[in-house]
Amino acid sequence: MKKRSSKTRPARALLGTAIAIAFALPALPVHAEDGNLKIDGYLRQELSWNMQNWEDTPGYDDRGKLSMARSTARLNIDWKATENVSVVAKLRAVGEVQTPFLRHLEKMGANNYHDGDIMDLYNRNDISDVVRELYVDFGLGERTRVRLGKQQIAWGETDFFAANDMVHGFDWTWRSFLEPANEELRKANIMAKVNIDVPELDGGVEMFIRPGWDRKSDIGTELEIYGGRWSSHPWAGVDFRNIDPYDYENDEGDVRDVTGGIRWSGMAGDINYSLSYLKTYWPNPIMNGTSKFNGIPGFSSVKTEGRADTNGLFGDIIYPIVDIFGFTASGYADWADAVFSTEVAYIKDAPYNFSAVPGSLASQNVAPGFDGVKHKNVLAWMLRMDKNLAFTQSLLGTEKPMFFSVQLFDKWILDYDGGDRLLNSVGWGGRAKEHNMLLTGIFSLSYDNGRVRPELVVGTDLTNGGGFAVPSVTVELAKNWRWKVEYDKFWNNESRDAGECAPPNAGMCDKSALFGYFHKRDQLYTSLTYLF
Amino acid sequence: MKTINKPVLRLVAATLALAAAGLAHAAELPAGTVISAENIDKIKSDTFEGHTVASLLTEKMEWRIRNNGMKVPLAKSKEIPLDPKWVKASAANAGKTKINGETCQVDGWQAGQPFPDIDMKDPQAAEKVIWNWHLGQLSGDLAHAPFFTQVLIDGEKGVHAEPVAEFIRYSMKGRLSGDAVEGDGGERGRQLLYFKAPSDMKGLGTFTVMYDNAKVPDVWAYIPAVRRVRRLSGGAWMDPVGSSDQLQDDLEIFNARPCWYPGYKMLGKRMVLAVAHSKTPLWNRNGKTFGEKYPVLEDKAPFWNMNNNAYEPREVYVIEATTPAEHPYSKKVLYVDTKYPRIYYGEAYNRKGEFWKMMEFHSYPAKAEDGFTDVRSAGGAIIDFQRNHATVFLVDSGSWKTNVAGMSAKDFTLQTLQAAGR
Repeated sequence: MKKRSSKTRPARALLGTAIAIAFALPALPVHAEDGNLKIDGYLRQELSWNMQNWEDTPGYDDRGKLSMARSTARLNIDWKATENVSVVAKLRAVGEVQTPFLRHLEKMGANNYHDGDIMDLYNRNDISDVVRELYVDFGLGERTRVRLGKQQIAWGETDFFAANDMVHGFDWTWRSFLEPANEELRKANIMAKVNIDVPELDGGVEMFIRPGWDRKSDIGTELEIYGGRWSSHPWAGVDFRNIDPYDYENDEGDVRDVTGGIRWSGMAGDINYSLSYLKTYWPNPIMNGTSKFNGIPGFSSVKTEGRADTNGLFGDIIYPIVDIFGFTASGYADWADAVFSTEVAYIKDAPYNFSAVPGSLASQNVAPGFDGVKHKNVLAWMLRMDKNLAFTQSLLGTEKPMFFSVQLFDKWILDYDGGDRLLNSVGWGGRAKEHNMLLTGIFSLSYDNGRVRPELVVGTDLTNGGGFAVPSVTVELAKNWRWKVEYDKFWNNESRDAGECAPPNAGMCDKSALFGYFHKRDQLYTSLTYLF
Repeated sequence: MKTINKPVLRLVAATLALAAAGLAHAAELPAGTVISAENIDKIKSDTFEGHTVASLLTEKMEWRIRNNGMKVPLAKSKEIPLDPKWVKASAANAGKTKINGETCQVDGWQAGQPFPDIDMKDPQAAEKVIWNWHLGQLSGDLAHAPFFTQVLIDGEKGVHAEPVAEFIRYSMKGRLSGDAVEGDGGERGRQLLYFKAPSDMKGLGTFTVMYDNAKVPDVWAYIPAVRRVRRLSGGAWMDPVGSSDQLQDDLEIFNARPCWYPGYKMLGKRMVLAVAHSKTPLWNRNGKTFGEKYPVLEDKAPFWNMNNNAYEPREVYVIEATTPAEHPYSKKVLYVDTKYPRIYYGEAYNRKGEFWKMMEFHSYPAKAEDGFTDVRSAGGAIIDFQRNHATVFLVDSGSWKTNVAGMSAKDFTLQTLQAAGR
C-alpha cells in the first residue's frame, strides 16, 4: 500500500466538497420554473456509523466509528431548446472525508490494487461520474419520441431484488442495496431510445440500443470487493482485484458489445402488462477462473470463459451477456382494495460460479468460486401486493392510511441439479438452491401533514435464513430541508468464519448466503438535505 | 285575562323593539364593507343587496369571523355568463334524463347539466344537484392549469410547504365541441397531474382515468426516485391527497361519483356570501414575500383566511350528503349555486358528529381559447380546525388554458405519463 501524504487526503476531500458547492451555488438564484430553462437540485450531507464491531477487522473496534461523511451536490437542468427538442442534464458531484475507520480499512489493504487510495472509491468526480445523465429528447411525427445520450432505463415492476430491471448495473460501493432511490445507484449508459405510442392498441413500444460507447466501469453491478466500508464479511480490507481484476473485454461480455432491448407495454382490460426482450450484461460479477494457474498448464482443471486465459493470477471478474425474456403485469383488485403486481424474467444461460470437489488451487486457498462457470436457465419471478391500511389512522394516529407493500421474490433455477454445487456468489460457500426466495415488506406512515414520515422495511431470506430491518424516519424541518435517520439492522443464519477457512479448506468451510455477507454490518445512517 | 294578555303584550313589545332597532341601526351597507370580528355585531342587522348580513353568513362562516380571523369584503353580485352551447345542451336534457341507481349513471344524458330544472319538492332534488355538479360543470372539454400550488399552512407557524404542480383534465364525455363522446363511452375523463417543485417531488406525476359508471378510477403514478410507473389503489378516493388536508373526495369540495354516497338531503335554498368573481391571480409564483406571493391571504395567524377577495350574495342549495360507513366523515354539507353547478362551501363532520373541516372555493368566469365561457377555480382553502392546519390551493390563473386546439384523447395516456417523467 502506497501512502498518500496527509496533506493530500483532506485536499482531495475538500476538492470534492468545493466542486459540490460550486455546482450548487450558481443554481440557487436561478431556480427557474419560467421559460425554457428549469434548474433544481439539492445539497446533501450524509453520515453513517458502524453499530457493531466487525469480526474481520481484528484488533480494531469498529463500533461507533464514522463510516461515511459524504457531501453531495445534485443539479438537474432541463432546457427546452425548441418546442420539440429538450436537453436534460443531471449532474452530481460528491466529496467524502476520510474517516479514521476508512483509514483503518485502507491500512488493511482496501482499494490497494494499483496503489489506489481508498477515497478513490468514494470521491468519484471524473467527468463521466459528474455527468450522471445528459440526453436530448425530441419527437418524430405524432407518436414517436427519441432520447439520445447518457440515460437510465428502468424496466420491470420491482425495485428490491429486480428481475427485469437489468438494463444497467448498479454501483453498490458507496451505499449498498439499502438506498431507496435506486436512480442514484444505477450506472447510466450511452444509449438511443425510441418510444412509439400505439393508442389504438392501448400501449406502446420502447426500443433501445446501447452502442458500446460507455466506460469500462459503467457495465455490470459493482459490488464492494475492494475491502471498503461496504465490503462483505469477512473481506474487510481485501481488494480482490489483486488476484482477480476486472475483464471488461471478455468474449462473453465486452464493454464494446452492442446491447439493447425491446418492450411492449399496454393495457388489457384493467391490467397493465409488458412483454420484453433484453440482451444485457448479467449484473452479478462472475469469477472467470484461470485454466493455467500461474501460467503453468495442468495445475488447474478450470475452463476459462471467453479468452485463452485470465489476466489475474486466480481469475478475472466478468459480466457475461445474457438474454432475458420478461413479462410484467399489475392491476387493481376491487375485492381486496389492493394493487397486485407480478414480474417474470426468463434468463437463458445465466452464468453461475460453482464449488468443485476437489476445488481448484484458488478455491482451496482463497474462497469458493474459482472453479469455473456453469450456465443455467433461470426464472426470476416476483409477486407483490400494495395496500393502504386505514386502521392505522385510528390505531396509530396516522394522517392517512399506512402504505403497506409485501413482495415475494424467487430465483428459480430451472434445470437445477444439486450435484452442480452452484454458488450464490463467489467468495462464500452458500450454495444456490432450486428456489431462492426472499420476502420483503414496506410499512410507510405519515404524520403532521407529511412533516414526519416513519418507515419500516423488512426482509428475510426464506431459503437460506437471515434478513434485514430498516426503520427510518424522515422529517421535513422546513420547506427546503429534509432530515432522515435510519438504522440498518442485519441478521444471518450463517456467516463465514475466517478461522475455519484456512487453506486448503477455504472453499469448503462455510455455507453463508446473502445476509451472511452483512454479518455485524449494522449501521446508523443520517442525512440532511437542502433542496433548491 | 292575564294569561291571555301577557303573550300578546310580549309580542307587541318585541315587535316594537325590533322595529325600533331596525329603524335606528339597519342600513344598506356599501360594497367594499368588510365584515370582521370587530364589526359583526354592529352590522349583523344591516343589509347588503336587501339581505341582512346575518342571513348571508352560514353558521360556520360567522364562527370563523368571530373566532378565526376570517374577513368578508362585500362585493355587488353579478350574473355568471352561461355559455350558450352549455345552456343549449342542458336545456335538451329537460324531462329526458333519469338517475339509474343500478348502473350509477344518468340515462339520457349527453352533455351540459343533466337536470336543468330542479324541483325542490322532488325527493331526488339534492341528488340531481350533485349529478349536475358531477357531469355538468362549466369547465370546458380540456382544462389545463400549468401552475398551481398547494400551500400547507400551520395555523400557528404559517406556511411550511408550497409544492407546485401542473394539472390537465380532459373530458371524454359531455363534450361540447365536436362529438359529445370520445372513445367507447365508458370513460368520463382523463387527468394528468405533475409536480414541478420542490426538487424531491419534481417529476412525480399521476395519470387518472375516471369512469362514467360505479367503477373507481384507475390511477398510476410515476415515481422519479425509481424511474418507474406504479399502479395505485383505486379505492383511495376517500384518502387524503398527499400530505394535504383534503381527501381525494374533497377536490373542489366534492369529487366522488354521486352513487358512492348512500344519500343526499336537500336542506333548503338560501343566500350566502361567496366568491364567484374572484380576483386573479390569487398566487404570484414570482413573489418574494408572503404578501406578494399570496395576495389573497392575510399574513397573520391562522394564515389561511382568503380575506382579500370579493364576496357577493349568491343563492345556493344547502345539501347534506351522507357518507359511506368507511368514509372518514360522517356527513358533508354543501353549498351549491342554484344558477349553475358550482360549490362554494363544504363542511365536513367527523365520525363523532363534530365539526372538523371547512372548505371554501373561489371561482371566476373566463373565456376559453375557442370562445367557450368556463368557470375556473382561482383558489380554495381546506381547513382542518381540529388540527389547526389548512391546505390552500392557489392557481396561477394567467397561464390557465381551456379548450386548447389540437389535443385529443391520444395525448392523455399512460405513455404520456411515462414520457413526461424525467
